[in-house]
Amino acid sequence: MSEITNEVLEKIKQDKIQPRPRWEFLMKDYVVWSLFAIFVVLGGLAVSVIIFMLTSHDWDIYRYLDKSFIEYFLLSVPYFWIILIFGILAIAWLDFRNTKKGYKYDFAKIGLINIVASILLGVVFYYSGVGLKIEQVFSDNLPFYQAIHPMRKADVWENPDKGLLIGEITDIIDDQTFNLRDLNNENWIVSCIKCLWRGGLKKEQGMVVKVLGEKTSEDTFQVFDVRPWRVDCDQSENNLDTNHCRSIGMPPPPPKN
Amino acid sequence: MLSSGQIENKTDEEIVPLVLQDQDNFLYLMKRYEERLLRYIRRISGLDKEDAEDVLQEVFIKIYENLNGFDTSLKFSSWAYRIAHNQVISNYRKIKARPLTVSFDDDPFIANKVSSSHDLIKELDRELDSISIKNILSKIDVKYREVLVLKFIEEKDYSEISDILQKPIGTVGALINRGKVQFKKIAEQEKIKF
Repeated sequence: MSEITNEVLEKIKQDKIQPRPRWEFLMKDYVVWSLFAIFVVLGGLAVSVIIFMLTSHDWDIYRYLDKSFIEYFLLSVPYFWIILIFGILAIAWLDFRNTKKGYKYDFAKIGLINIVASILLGVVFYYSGVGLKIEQVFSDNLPFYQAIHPMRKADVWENPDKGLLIGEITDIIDDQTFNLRDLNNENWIVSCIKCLWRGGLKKEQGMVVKVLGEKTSEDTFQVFDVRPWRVDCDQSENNLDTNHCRSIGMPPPPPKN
Repeated sequence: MLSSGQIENKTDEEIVPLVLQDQDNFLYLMKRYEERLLRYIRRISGLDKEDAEDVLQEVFIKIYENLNGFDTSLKFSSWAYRIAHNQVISNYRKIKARPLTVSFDDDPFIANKVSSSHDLIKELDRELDSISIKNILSKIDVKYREVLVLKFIEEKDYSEISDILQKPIGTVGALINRGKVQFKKIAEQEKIKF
């Protein structure tokens, strides 16, 4: 028996060193894989919000804001979620490297698997409406979130001189005319001859809408395009009663005489 | 404890569960790896024999403590080399002040690898080549030295090296290639011909 092996065996016996139990190793494996699964799901959620933001964004209003498309695009990119996704992917990659066989895969392969899994999950989450819900929660509750997505703020549409208007339909006068109260509590008579109501929108009192058109006088507006303030506020009256369909900072209506 | 006769024909992987049943059986595993791991530790760490033996003791204890985590899809030798590699790195971090230069003195193994001829002139050539290889390896970057040692001296295949260093096989291949280039470059600078 050599000296080293002898010493090691003596030390093991003397210090009562025991092999770590198998469950510790299994537990570590489960934790690492569970974390990886969680990060992929988080990546999927972030992707679903990005898809929602890109598909629900008003990409055509840059002309009204005197901006080039590039400038408007740069102001509209969902930076928050893109940065978050890169963070999640990086942590997921580090986590995957800690799985038993993680080292066998190179950075590109793990990254690709992760991105593809996140995109697939993101599409599923998007179609199940999760992306929309998350975006609403963030945008309704985090002031900094609105600040980094300036083109999604309601006040972008508070621009009648440039042909953009947002507000609540307060009164439907006839098939082609309605009254609209804007964010500054000013009333507009909006005429809507042959205008397009997006998303199957049917005009209803209390509905918050964005309109594209032209200011024709101090209180009249000629409209050719009407959009719901939020994409899920366009179908039924029940939706319109929910808080988020009205939470755009509308001032309380003036007291009726 | 089993007798050495009973254990001789068993593979390392077959001995692992026997060690978990009786710690005395660990002696057989240690005996099989003592020389190999000590040599490997010295080659990659630059430690003298005494310090390398201390590291080896720690390696054996780590191996024993982690036996339940031994991944049976790996060769036991790859797993043992991996623990040795990690221990050397951890040891190196602890004593960072010490420069990591490698001495291959009293390493007859390299000389044996260069040639196995017993012809006198060839024997002299072999000695000279061996000294040259030691000289070059001591000057090569650590990351390349380790893969070159594993590939050409320990004679591990790419898959084993990948398991030991926990790097993708592609990365191992790239490191070996770059290591060979650096080896050649240093050989040219030193005007050594093989």
